[in-house]
Amino acid sequence: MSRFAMAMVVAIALTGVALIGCAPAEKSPDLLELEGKLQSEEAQRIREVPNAVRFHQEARQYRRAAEEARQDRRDERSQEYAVLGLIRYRTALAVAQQFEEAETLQAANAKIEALNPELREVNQARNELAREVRELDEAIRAAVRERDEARRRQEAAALQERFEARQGASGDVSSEVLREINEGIREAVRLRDAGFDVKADEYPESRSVFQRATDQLQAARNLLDSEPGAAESVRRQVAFAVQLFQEALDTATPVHEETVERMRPENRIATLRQQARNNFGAPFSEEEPNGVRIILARLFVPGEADFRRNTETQLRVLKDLAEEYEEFSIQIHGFTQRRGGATANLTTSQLRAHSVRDLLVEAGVSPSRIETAGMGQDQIRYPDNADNNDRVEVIMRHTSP
Amino acid sequence: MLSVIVKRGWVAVLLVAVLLMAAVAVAQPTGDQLESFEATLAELEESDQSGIAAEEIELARTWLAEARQAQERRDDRMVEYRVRRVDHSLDLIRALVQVGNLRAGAAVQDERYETMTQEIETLSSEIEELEERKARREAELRRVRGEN
Repeated sequence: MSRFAMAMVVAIALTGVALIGCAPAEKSPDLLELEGKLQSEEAQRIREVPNAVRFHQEARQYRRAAEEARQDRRDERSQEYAVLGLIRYRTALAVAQQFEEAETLQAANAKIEALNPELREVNQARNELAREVRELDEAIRAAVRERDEARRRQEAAALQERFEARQGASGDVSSEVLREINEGIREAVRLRDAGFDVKADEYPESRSVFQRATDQLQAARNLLDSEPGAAESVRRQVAFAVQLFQEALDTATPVHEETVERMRPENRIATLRQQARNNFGAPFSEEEPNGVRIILARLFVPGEADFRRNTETQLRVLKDLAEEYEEFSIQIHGFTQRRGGATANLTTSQLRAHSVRDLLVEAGVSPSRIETAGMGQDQIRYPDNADNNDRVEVIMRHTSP
Repeated sequence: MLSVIVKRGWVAVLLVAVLLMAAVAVAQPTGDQLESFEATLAELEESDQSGIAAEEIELARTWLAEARQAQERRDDRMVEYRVRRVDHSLDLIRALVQVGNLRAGAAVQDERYETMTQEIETLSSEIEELEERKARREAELRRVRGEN
């Protein structure tokens, strides 16, 4: 009996050992992790994303293969399948994320597309107003010139009239001397008016002499008025005033003629074109009706409205020209290359034009002279050099054609 | 008898040669595949958004190195395991880089939207200023013309 019992115990023990030896190993941490992930809520969400489904299914197939390999006690293979399953699961997750990020990007694009027309509209309204203000400025300048001229002639005529009336009433001075004085005053007034015509009172070269002549003439009139007996002295003063007026006129006339010549629209336009060619080079400056088109190529960081480094010199020259040629209107057109979306590029081109406008306004150029427009990516000027198309084109036109 | 032995010897030599060629043919694609993986990985690593997949890239590099070592040891099974891991990892890295690209694209567009909104505000206040200036200029013109 005891032998039998012992044999039974040995048999049971051997069977146990055999059973334990044949049982599959425990699941590896990777397999457990994969199973956990595939049962999570996140996995349910991934399954609903079209492109992620494929990777999710592969992850599930790897899990099954890993489990089967484990059951077959091929532990190394089971482990490998679990790792591959985890990689596939993470890929499915990333693809699902792609889907979400693509939707976010699409929404951001839609927002920009919706805002683009508003930006264009506001910009057009601003440009229109700037043009109106510019025209009003021009009209005011013309009206002021007209008014000042009329006023000056009126004052001169009134003075003359008053003086002659006083002289007519005076009987103390000999008619010969008085005639000479009157002639002298008339000559002085004539020369003074001629001086006004050539802006002798404005040019630094003639201004002080002209002022002295005016004071001299006024002093002579006052003296004649207060001391009619001092006719000889008045006559000398008048003669000196005539001399000074003549000197101021002689000095101012060539300066004025030169200025008028220089400021003639056709000459100003020609000079501006020449200066643009000299500074930017012939390929980057083109003649425009009544002005010039300056092309500032490769001015911006691709996709941005920020200036590239080393563009300061170009921009400084542009500022100088805008300041020097103040009677020219300025149109700034922004452009982009074709990289990126058309909608985004339209916005970028608009912002580029605004960047240049802001720069000029900061430098003191009147905003009412400037108009801006974004042209987007469609007008490629440099097909062989994409970055050159990240540009603005500045058109300066004389305002009085 | 001798001719039969010689014939069989040639057959054996031919068989060995065919087997060697087959072995080389099998080994060659794996070598090419590793080169190709290396190049793809380097390309992905250079992309702007590779940071998002830094860990996966590192892991793939490790597995590539292990595959090469296994190849030198002629441990075909290990080569197969590692090659498949790297192959799957490249899919994952590509997907992650694309996530980064899309995210960065959306951030740029958001920034652009902000800039546009600010620009509209700037232009609107400029319009107000220009309208005031226009009204002042019109009054001034009327005044100057009235004085003439």
